[in-house]
Amino acid sequence: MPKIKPNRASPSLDMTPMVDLAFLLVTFFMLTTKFTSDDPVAVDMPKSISEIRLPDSNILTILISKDGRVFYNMDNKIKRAQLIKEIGTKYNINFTPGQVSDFAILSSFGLPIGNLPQFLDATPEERKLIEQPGIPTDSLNNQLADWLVYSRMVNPQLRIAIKGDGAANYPVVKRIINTLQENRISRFNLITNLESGPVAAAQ
Amino acid sequence: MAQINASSAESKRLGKVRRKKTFIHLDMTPMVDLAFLLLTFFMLTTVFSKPQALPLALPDQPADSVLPPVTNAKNVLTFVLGGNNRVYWYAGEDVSGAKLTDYSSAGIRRILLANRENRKLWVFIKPDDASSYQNVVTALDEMAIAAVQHHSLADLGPAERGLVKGKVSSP
Repeated sequence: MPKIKPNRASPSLDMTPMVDLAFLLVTFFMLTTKFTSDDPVAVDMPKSISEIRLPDSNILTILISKDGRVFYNMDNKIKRAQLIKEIGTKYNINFTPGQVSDFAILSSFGLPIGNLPQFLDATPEERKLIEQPGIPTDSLNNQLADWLVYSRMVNPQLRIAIKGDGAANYPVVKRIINTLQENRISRFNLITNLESGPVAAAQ
Repeated sequence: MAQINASSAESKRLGKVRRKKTFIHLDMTPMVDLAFLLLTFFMLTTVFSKPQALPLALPDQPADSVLPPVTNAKNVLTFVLGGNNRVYWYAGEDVSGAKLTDYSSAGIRRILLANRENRKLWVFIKPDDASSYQNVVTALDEMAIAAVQHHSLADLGPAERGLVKGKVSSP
């Protein structure tokens, strides 16, 4: 009996269509992606039927956490670097170039300005462990107002958006709205999630 | 197949030489690995639901010498947002006749739609300190649903404070 030759050719699987698809998806996600911002607190936004999209740039976000702490965030690295220098001169705090560049790439923060240099000196991992008390908004020491004024100075096209947790108490929100009004900001946006369902029933 | 046939050009040149059957095998596995790694990364980090914005325009704070505009009480509806998702509402200046309602579609929305004919309708939303941010956004949202042209946020008066604190009249 002749020996049966074992087929030595390795089974080659045609991967081309799969690779095509994988790269198509990679390209799609790369182009459409917008990274989740790593906010220091989770914010569960209230729902509304508004379908107006928030613009992508020139946004100042005031974050309100569930327990009423206030956080500040602004986009645009260059403007942020300007902002920290300006606000440093106002509060007589000299930020080192390293601290300025760290602030430029920082996301939301909620600290009294006095604690900011120390916070910026920490590594990103250490920062996550630091308990942030929120930006003072009371009438005696309203640092949020200063942040607003100086932010608008470095970027006059800034739009203000309030991203509050639905469970936050209204007095905190009222204090922020009053702060905005005192600084002649009477148009702003409340960031919400889209509500689905009950709207259709109403019509 | 994921192979490149390198022999075709050569065989043409050499004429009748026996056609070589060797293929260059390109191992695509690392590339595929990388492609899928990137795919997973982007899929997990991407945000599809972009947040929506509810625009809110408040009146400028008037100078002290300027009196706020006077509105006919007949055209005024007031919603007082209390704690525990309670809403009190009354028409005109009749605080004592306030009724309890809620945030469902049979609550604020029905009251607003009943007053839809009134083009001069002014709605005041007065959130109490016990109310939550969600309550305020829902109330503002109801204004948008019922297309109320004039609405505004205001602080509670003494009578309304009593209303929220004390007695609850039946709806």
